[in-house]
Amino acid sequence: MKRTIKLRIFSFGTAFFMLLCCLATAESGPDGSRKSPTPVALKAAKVWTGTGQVHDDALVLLRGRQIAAVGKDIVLPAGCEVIDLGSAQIAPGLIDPFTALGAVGQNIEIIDPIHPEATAEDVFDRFHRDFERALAAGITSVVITPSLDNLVGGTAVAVKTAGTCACSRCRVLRRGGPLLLTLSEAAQKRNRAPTSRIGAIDLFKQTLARARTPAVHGETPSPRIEALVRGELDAYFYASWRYNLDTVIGLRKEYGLKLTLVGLSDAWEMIDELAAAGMPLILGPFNALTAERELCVPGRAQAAGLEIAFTSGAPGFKPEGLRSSAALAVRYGLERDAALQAMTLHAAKMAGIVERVGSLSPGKDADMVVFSGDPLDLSSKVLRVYVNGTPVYAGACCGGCCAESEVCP
Amino acid sequence: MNVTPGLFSRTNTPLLFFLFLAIALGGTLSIAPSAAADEAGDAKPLLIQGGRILTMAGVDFERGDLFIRKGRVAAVAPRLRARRGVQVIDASGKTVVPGFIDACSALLREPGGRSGSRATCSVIDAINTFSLQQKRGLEAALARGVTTVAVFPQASSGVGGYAAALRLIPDAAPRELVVEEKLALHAAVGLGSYGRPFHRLGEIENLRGALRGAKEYEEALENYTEELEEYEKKLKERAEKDDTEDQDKETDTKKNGNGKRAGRTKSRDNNNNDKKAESATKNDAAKDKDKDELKKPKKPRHDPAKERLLEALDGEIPLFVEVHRAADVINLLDIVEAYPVKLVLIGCTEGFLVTSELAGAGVKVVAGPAFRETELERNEFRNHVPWFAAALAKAEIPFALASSGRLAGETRHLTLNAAQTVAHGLTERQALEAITIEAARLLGLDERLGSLEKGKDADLVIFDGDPLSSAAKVEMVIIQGRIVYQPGA
Repeated sequence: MKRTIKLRIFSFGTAFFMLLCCLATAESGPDGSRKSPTPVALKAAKVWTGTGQVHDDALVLLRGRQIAAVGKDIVLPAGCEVIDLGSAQIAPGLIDPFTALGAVGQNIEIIDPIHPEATAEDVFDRFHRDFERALAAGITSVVITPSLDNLVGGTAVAVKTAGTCACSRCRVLRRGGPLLLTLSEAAQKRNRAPTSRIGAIDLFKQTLARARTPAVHGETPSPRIEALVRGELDAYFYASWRYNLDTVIGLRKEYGLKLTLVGLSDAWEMIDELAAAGMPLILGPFNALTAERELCVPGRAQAAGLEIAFTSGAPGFKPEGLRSSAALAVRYGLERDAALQAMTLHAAKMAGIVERVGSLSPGKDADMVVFSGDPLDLSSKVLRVYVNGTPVYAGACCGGCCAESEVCP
Repeated sequence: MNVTPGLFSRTNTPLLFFLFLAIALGGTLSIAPSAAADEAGDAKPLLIQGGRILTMAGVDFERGDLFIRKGRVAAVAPRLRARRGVQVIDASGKTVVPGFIDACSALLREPGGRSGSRATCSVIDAINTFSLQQKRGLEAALARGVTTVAVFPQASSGVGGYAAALRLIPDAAPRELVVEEKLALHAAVGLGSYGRPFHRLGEIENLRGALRGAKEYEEALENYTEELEEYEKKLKERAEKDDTEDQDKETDTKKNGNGKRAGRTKSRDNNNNDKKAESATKNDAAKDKDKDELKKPKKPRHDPAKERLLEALDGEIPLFVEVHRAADVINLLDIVEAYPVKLVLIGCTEGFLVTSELAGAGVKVVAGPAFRETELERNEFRNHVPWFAAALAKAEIPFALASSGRLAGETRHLTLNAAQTVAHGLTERQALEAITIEAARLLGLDERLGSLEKGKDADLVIFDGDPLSSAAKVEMVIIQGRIVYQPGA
């Protein structure tokens, strides 16, 4: 428990420091986009809003850091600068809801299996080059989670992969959540409980039960687990295989947990049950070796009314895997539009950041990706990425060997 | 897909007139030869009508017809007429492309470790079409438009034996699939060296040693042939001499020395052994002794492994070497300079670092796969860049795009591989060529496969749209004029 408190103090300290730092930056104001009075609009052959709409030859009007309007016949303010992107297509910034970007090796804690107060935001390195690579793959927001070594691993943090300044306020979208839960083998250790599946399930159940009635057990309750069992805090439940899912579905019903399932490789057997339980899924990463029946899951889940998102598995796998996972799902029956929503709106919902990102809707952050073609075709390239209305990536020129037709920065 | 029987009969006079007119006007109307009733081929002649045809042979048709007879492409033209007995396939609104070729696949090969293969192996012996898993893999690849695969033995270091090219015909015995049984000799460098820094040097030396050994073997064989000739010549001489001597004895016993003289004159021709020959004629006892001295040269022991390397050294078959790191590539090019073989590199992950050297050496590359997600893979692939193919294209190095040849499941995603290279600098045309005609050229199969031209095998795929799109659906696959895949059929 002592350790937990220390961690919390550290967390508050860090947050306070970051806030100070951010205020200072905001006042000194290197942030050009907010001061700039000229409104900007982007014109593209296709605009995918992420909410299921696709506009042909449409405009995206920006107001400072945010999106003001999207559509074909929107009224542009006087003196508006229109950037014509030609045959390119605009999509909302992609979101990877399950990564360890900038936190690999820093997010592992293996002494106490129940570690709800740990937070990933304390350990991610926002200057890590992983973020640049994610940006180049069109990913503008990610969720960074603690490692899978504990039954309750602590809370994840949702951040942007780029910010208009280096301060954390511009980068952090959501602190303290979702909580990472698992029963997987990774959380079973030889030198501490739980050492087995049966022990893991027991400890997990006890933890939830104690949080519901802390007075009975005479213990200091963990605020996060209390929030979890009250349904106030959402959680990711990681399971690589389905065999613990009956337990999880039971607990979810019993406590009214808000759960998102991550990593389920054999979900094809469970789609109807999952749909009945209404548990959203984070799937992937898919690659050339993924079994075909697994590749069929997104299409079937969508047809069954389940919300899905994809993960690239970055940084262990390439961040480009987010889009290729979605493309593979399209290949095996997922509709293009649903695939795009999975990478944007649905991922934002699961990460709990949907008020700010996930679609090109008025009032949301202007995080966008400009693709050379259809975002779901792997032959399309990421040409530009905007975060908070500012271009932060303008294409890599493949080591100077791009075709002449290609736009080089 | 609508499959309708022949629409026009032979006796359709107005049509014939129109046909004549069109030809007279220098128009684009050609005639698909009618299917003779006694045609030997068991597959019905096919006419694929109205599709967008990407022939990969220079000419594309926005709307074209393609006629298949006896398993081969008989004609491709903007408009062809079907006669009786021709099965017409309506492909309007669809895209017709040559069947895709995976120039390095693991499909149909028995999975196994990376150690067993030797120079004397043939991958055809490890092909298993009977396992359920392989059957599924084959059908999945076919359902994505792949019709031919090149399969290599899984050597991890050194020479690994013959590779083979196979057609993906469902429910066929291994031998029925063979396009080419002795496609190439396979070798690998660097793959056994993960975590063993000193191994790499040994692997290069292994390959160099193997080629050197083959060369020495060849020289030894040549020496043997020369010596044998000489020996036989001498034997013949001796026999002739013996004959003359015998004759001398019989006929000229009174005239001493005559035979000797004759023997001497004859022996002058033979520079090395004239003394021996001379002495041999002196008396019979000495002659017998000499016969023992004249030994038959010893034939070098037959070495099948070296024989195979000799085939590569003589340029009969190409040597395909799997190599990934730039340093190994340079070493390999040095070896090739000393022992000229037709070299094709497989994988060549770091090829983009040494493009000028590759182009200078005239080496071809089976590149890929582009679809490689893991960052934490072995040393060999660590420097994989997504624009590897664009770098090769820019340096004008002939290349094909292929899967890694490690796991059978990769082949079904060949078009996604190609699509990804388009996002990183290749044109769509280049990417498609790299899995059709360029792949065929690299494998030496371009006389039969890789494009839709008259006389080539009728291996083709009908897509519902752009073949490189994620959602592209294969509507039909035809191999050697037979419909082998049709979803829902």
